[in-house]
Amino acid sequence: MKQTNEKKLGFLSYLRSELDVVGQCRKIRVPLWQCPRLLFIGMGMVIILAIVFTYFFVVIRTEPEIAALIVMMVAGFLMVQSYLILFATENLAETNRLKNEFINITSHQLRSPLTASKWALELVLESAKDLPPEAQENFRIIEDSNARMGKLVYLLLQVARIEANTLKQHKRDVSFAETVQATVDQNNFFVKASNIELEFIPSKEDFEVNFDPEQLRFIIQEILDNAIRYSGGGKIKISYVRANSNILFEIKDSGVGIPKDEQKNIFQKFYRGSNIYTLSPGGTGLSLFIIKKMLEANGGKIGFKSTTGEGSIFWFTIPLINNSSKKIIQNKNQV
Amino acid sequence: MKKILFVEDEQALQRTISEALHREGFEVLNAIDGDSGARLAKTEKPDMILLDLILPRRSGFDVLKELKETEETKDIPVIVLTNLESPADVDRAIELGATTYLVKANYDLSDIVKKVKMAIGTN
Repeated sequence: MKQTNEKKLGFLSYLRSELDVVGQCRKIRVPLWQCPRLLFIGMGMVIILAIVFTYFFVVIRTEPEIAALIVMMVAGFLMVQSYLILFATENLAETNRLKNEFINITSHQLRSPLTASKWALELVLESAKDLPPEAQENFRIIEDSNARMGKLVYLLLQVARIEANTLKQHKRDVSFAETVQATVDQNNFFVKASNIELEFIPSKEDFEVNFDPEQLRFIIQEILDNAIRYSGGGKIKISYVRANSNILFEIKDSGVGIPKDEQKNIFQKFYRGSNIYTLSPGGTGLSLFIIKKMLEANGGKIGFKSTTGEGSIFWFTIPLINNSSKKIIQNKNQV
Repeated sequence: MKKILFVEDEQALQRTISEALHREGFEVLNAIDGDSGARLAKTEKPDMILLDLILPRRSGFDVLKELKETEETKDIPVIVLTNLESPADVDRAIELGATTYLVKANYDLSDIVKKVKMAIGTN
């Protein structure tokens, strides 16, 4: 019953937003006189009025020349309106082209110097063993800042690609177990430094998913990173199991939780919960937005349950290859 | 000493990779555009080529095509090292005969050196 009501409300709000013509025009940022939706309605009204008017006119006056003149005038008016729609569409296409160009410039021109400084720093750090500790520490700060900047560029690039519908995916068959294990191992230091007790329950089976390996790593890494950051000590439990034709990954933390009235916003871009600024002031509020889009582009889903002060459970699903592809593995934690 | 040709127009990247490869005992030849890259590949016959795709004068794709169509360079392994990452670019480079396709921003310098060693068979 609750679900039916929610669906009804969802449909009503969809209908309301569809009928809000001015709002829709503002959304695509074109002037009203160029807005395809408004011009479409205008054209429809002109056609209807023209038909009705012509009918009554022909009933009263029978001269075919007058009727032909009216039809020509209407046709002329419609042509002007069509041109305006064409003009608006071309404008939108141009905006889209500029956006794609911006993405290309960002991806190449912004990442190249970042890569160069990252690599140069790697060389410096290799031969910096004899430098005083303060100098080494300063180099580490540069390294961290560079990594943060690199990540920020990556996140912004993904958002821009999602919005331009050009999110790139180099899909191949990937071992889910190996990806999770590698990500957990990589975060061991961060987990210990954050005074967190991590419980990881790997499945007895390995599951293969057809996914972009980089994106899969990103998804698991960011969800784990959030759990660590917002736990403020405490416990984290990670598990994954087969759920029908999907893999179900779950991560439970005993962190600050998400306030109930803010939960609906959590997958919106740039959104950050009001109670997490002190725990992680440097976050961007982009990761969950990107993760959701990456999963949905692959037939997956993401969701969560959260209680303020008690913690959160984040879960996601990814379809398994051919519904049944799996193999038994000797897992690290079972040795 | 194994010889590597690095075709890259950005000096900072050229310098860092060259130094990292020098430290591992490789001889590195540098080319800053597509034309000189293709020319050096033919005259110097390196053991491996690291090739960027966005290059002045001639794109990396054109250079790769030419190298793979030329008898004396067709067997030299080519690692594409670029920041282009669309699936279409990856497919095109692999179809043209690239051994590996690496997106610069996704790798540490040490990873690049490892990949070079693997491709050249000195790992």
